[in-house]
Amino acid sequence: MSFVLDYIQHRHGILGINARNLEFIQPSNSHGAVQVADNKVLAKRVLEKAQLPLAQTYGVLRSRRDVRSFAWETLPNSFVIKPNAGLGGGGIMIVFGRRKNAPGIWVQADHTPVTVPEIQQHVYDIMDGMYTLHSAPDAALIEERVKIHPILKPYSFRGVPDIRIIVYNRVPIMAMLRLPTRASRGKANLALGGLGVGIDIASGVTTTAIIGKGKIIQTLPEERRLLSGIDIPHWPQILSLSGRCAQATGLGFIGVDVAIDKDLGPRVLEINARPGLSIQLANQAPLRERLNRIRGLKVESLEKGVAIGQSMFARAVPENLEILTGRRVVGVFEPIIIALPNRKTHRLTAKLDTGAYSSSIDLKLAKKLGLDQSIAYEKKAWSSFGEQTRPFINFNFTLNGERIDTVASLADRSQSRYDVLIGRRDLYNFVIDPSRKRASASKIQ
Amino acid sequence: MAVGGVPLETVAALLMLPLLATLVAFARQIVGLKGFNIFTPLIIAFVLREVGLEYGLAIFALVVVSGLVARLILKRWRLQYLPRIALIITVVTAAVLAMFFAAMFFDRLGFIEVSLLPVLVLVALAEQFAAVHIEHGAKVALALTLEAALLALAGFGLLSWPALTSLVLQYPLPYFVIVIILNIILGRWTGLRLLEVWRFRALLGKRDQS
Repeated sequence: MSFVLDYIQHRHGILGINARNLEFIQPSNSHGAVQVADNKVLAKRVLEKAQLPLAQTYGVLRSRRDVRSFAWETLPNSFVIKPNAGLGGGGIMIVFGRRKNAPGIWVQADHTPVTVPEIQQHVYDIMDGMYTLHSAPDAALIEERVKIHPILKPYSFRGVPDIRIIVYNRVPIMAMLRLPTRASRGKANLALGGLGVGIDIASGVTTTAIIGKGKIIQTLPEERRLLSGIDIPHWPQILSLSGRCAQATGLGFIGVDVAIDKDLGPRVLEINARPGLSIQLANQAPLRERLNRIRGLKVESLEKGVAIGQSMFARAVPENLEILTGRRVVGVFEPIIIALPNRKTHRLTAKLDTGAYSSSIDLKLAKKLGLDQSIAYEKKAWSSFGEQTRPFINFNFTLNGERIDTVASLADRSQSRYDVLIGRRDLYNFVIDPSRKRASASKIQ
Repeated sequence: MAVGGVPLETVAALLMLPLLATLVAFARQIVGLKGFNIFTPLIIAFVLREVGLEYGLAIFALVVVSGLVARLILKRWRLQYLPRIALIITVVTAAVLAMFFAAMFFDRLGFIEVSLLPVLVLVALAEQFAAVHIEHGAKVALALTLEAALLALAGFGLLSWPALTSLVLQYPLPYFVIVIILNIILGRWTGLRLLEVWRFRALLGKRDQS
């Protein structure tokens, strides 16, 4: 009987609010742990004790006297003010920079100027409980604004992008990159019109994306920049951070928000004892199914938890693709084995580039390997430097078990990181999946 | 009529309370309406019963609209939270008073006979709406207010269904048992809410690719 009921309720594998509260939050998160998570100052103290990297706190204002005596002029050019017990990103003020030649005037993320009295008023509003449940009095938290990592910068409109990871039973289950937009006024909040971009747990590369309440999109709004294939920097570190947050707070079911600082790397922004459910839409994948596979599992260590999450929830598309297309799936950077004239071989990592027609090899390397001796032909080539003649050499190599006999042009590639570039002429039997980059790169190390 | 000295009217109204509360719980757990809380739709339903649908809805609409206008005006000044709410209630009160005088002027005497307490309750609800408006913005506030009004209307429908009231009066014990069981089921229900089915419709029938 209960099986039938269970089937009716959960055949789709989607996690709804009812199930989240009753089956995951209540059994996994103790009342005390939830209270800590709901109190940002307290949560920070707990995470700090566990030596987790956090955004620096400039001040905690609890009373009117605190506000008056705080040295406002000493605040840096950019900072964030948050309600200590705020809900759903409400009441967060992001200050972006300081007006030049005008002391005491800052600029907010939406470009409106803000003065010290206005900031103080915002802090008073926070204290009066404007952003808390049932208007309970609150404290205001002033903290460092994380400097946006260059990889994520082109994707974020003014505010700070962050990464939400849901960790259950020490295993990272699902992750999403949240990007602030013009509509969300610089806040990385889906409810306000921000973007949610799904992340493949195994590789840290983005997959599918939604805007606002769940409209699926491929590119940034008003731009052609693709949202899939973003390679989140420091991914292994972010995963391990999320597990350590779960450990430190004692929350069995937790949403960890991490931002990546340009200089300092990943920092924990916030922890959430009641993570939202839109992450399922961003990833186009139901959450409950994954949670059920992890429930009751004995996870001995954090490292094991991360490994379990990465292997169990890796996107399985490439394998399906191989069956469907009959072509091997490779990443952008792949190890190749070059057959040398002296019957020896040379291994290196090549860059696969469908933007180039033929493959090319660095002149110096070709000389070193003795490949420059067997010139196949010379050809006029046009580049931005004008007309040049380029020698093509016979070039035989093995990629992912497949032997390719071809020609490659000799070129000065001393400026590029990879000595060998494989062009599309030699890639007919392959499908390139950019998200596989890390997996194959780590293989050759 | 009275039951052991307690007026039957009072007993009937009291008995309907758990049912209305259950209705709100159902709307939250199964349908997915967020509402405000149980109190707001429940009290509006009883106000509607007390003053009649026409006047009740008119005053309710006036409170919501004047409250909204007051908030938009007050937005320009930097005011602390509670004084701001007090000002909103002042504006709402003035609007309700103006409506009373207008009703007198146009000889709609039914308005003047409206009893005090229901009107006070509606005016005080302006705080609820204002709080949500300030916290979540006008859009959410209007949506929640609409949801509360819908729930209140449904509750009013139940209250003014004589057959139901008499049934409850006749079998109070089975009624309580049913309400209790219903709420235990609601409290244990872990399935998707109806609005969640809509929200996640793109994922329905989709398998996880991991």
